[in-house]
Amino acid sequence: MGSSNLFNTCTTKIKTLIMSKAILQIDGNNFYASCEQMIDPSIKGKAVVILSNNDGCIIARSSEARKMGIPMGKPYFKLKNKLTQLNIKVRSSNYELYGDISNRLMLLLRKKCEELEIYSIDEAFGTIKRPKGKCLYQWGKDLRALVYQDIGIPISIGIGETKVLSKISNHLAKKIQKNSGIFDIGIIQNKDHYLNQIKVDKVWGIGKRMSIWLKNKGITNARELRDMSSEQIKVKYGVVGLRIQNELKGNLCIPIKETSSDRKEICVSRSFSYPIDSLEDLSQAIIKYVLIASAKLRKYNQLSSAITVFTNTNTHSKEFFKNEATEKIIIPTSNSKIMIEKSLSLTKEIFKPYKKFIRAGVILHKLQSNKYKQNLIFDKQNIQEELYLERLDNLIDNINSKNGIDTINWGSSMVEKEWTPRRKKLSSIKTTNIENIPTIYAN
Amino acid sequence: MDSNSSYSSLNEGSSKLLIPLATETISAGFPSPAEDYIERGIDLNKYLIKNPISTFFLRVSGNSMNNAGIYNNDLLIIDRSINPKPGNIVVAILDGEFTLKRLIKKQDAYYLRADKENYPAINLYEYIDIQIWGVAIYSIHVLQKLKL
Repeated sequence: MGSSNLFNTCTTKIKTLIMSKAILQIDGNNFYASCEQMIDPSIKGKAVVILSNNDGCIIARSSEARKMGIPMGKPYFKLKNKLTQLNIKVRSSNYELYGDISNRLMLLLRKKCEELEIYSIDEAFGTIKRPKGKCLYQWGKDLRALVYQDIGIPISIGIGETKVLSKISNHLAKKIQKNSGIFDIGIIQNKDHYLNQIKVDKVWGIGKRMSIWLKNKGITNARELRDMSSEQIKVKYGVVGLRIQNELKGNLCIPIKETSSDRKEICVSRSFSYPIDSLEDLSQAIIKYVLIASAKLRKYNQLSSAITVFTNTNTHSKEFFKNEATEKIIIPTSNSKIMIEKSLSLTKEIFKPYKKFIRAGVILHKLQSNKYKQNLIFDKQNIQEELYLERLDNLIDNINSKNGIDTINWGSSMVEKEWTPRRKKLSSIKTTNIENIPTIYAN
Repeated sequence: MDSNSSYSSLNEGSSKLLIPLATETISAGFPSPAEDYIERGIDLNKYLIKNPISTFFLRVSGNSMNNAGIYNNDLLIIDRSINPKPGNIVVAILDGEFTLKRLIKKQDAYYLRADKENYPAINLYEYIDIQIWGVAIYSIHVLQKLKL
């Protein structure tokens, strides 16, 4: 009896503590398109679509293009005529610009939130304290205005007791027009009315398979998911499923992760604009990717102790062929030259004549911090050479970071071939390179 | 998530060049007495840029703002976080283009005007589609092209 009493007081204490903490979910609306519109007045307020790498598919639409019924993810060539007819502007993805705007957004949010978890390039979770029972709508409105003035992009803010609820809140913020991009579900006692509006596959963490399973059980919306038997979820989806349900009930189970733990692997891969069938071309592509990957390693002060290269032909073709090969690296390294040597021998292994490859990539795994680097003892000559290579890497990294990607690099990676991915519609305007800043007319 | 490019970052890589500032005169031939007096140095980024998050650079084309000391090809530093006040030089969006003008107030109306005679002022209320993008805070003008 006594112990259960103690347990009760404990939970209420935790509850009041949690109640005073509001979880925010903030994202940039139509982020890529908004960045383009912010820096290029000629497309401001107009219909714009952004294409994926290699100008393949539509990966972002401005709200104007969305309203005109342009679908997401469709191949560009299929919609090309329609886009021209409707006078919709087309841009290749300009990741330098989006990265810079994203950085600015996250720095600003970090100032305004107590904790911040950067979830993706355009999305973050945050926390702030909630004065007892007070709606945070005005707080969100001020933040939204501040971001729009300082950075020039529109954001949406969802507020709730948990991550899952703040996500739902953000859906509602976008759905209910008069709310102008902010919704606070956290002060609403009976949330049924709102949770009924959220389809079950829109709930954060519910994947495709799980939503099919739920629908077969007759669960179609967030409220039904919250109220269904936990036993059923537990049996099928274990703790992961239970957590989502608990978060829907308002119990915080998925904490904010302020610093993402060190990454475990780096993958760089691309689709070619034309299929390639020679070992020489494939090697050249792999070298290009391995250089990007190893520069990234050095940027984050990490070393890799295994490398994989892979390639494949068209997945839709009958003779679909894919291949990959991995090699251990005995002394963990981030050195470009060693990586190139390893990847070249691996490329020979995976290559097969008469195959038309359309994609290739490199994975560096088993990453570790370079703080604990071990060298082979008694191997003076190697140590000497490694120091030399390290200096060379640093030099190349410095030049490239000052003057732009690929100002200088290893031989064959610099050759532009026709298979290199296209970015034909690149706006070329950036906020990160003095040569590419926008022009202002004073005529 | 994305493996496409290395993002530039505001908090890395900036402010590399520091010019040490000695507060005492140095006598030649003496073993570095200045070392004790070196202060932190002048960092132009810190001096010119108050709010990095909201600061953007634009390149000027044209001569209509010469009287304000802004010339063709100058590098303009814009701070979006500043609320424009009459007298400020602002970047406005007009007919889908960036344009550089001075914001002025006459009686109760706001106008945008080039700093040049015979340039008509634009009444802000007559345009529906006008927006002030940011306030210009510095203009960097090249005096001597250097080979770097």
